[in-house]
Amino acid sequence: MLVIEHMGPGRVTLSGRFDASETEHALAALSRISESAVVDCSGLEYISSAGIGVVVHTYRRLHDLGYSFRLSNVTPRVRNIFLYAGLAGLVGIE
Amino acid sequence: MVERAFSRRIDSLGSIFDFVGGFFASEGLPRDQSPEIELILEELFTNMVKYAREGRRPIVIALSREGPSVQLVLRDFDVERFDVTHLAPVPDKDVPIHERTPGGLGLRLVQWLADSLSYDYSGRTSTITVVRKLEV
Repeated sequence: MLVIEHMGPGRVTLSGRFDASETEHALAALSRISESAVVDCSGLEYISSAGIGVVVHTYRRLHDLGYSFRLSNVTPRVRNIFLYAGLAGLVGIE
Repeated sequence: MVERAFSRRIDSLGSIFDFVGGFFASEGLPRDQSPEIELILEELFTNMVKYAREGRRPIVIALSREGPSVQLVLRDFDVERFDVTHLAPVPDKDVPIHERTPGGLGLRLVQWLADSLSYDYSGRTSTITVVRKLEV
C-alpha cells in the first residue's frame, strides 16, 4: 500500500509500495502539489516503472509551471532503480 | 515448484506479491531479496495485461528454486507474439527529464535484474522464463 501525505507547502512524504495498482491514487494525490516540492521517500520500500512514470509526470507538470520537484532520503534499493532509469537528477543524485 | 493462475487485471498484483512471499517463506529464502523478484513479475505481468489485449485467459505464473537462483515462468495463452528479450532502448541520460520519450522502462528493468531471460512462442502461447540469482 502506498501512503502519500502532504506535510505542508512543498513538503510531501511517500511511503510503502508504489506499484502499478497505485497509479490513479498517486496521480490524484500528487496533482495537489502546486509549488516547488521536496518529497521525503525514506519510507518508500518499492517502486516499479509505473511508479516512476507518475513521479516523472509530476516532475514535468511542475517543471512546465516553473517549479522544482525533487526526491529526498531515497533508500538504496529505490535509488538504484532511479539511477538505472537515468533519473538521478530527479532524486538529487549527481 | 509452485504455480498459480492470476486474472489479467492490474489489481492482481497484490495476490502476486503474496504468492512470492509465500514461496520465499516455504523455501526459506531471504525475504529482503524478494522485491527484485516482485519487480520482475510486476513488469512482465502488467506488460501482458496492457499489450496482449486479445488475451482472455488468466496468466499463469510458476516459481521454482534452482540452487541459489529463483526461476520465474509466466505463460500467457491465446495471444500474439511479443518477444520481451528484444532490447529496449537505453535512456539517454544527457536528455533533460522533461524532454524524454516515456515508455520501455519496465522491460529495461527486467533485462537489468534478470541473470537470464528467454522467450518462447508456440501454439499462440507466450512463455517468458527468467532466472535471478539470490545471495543465499
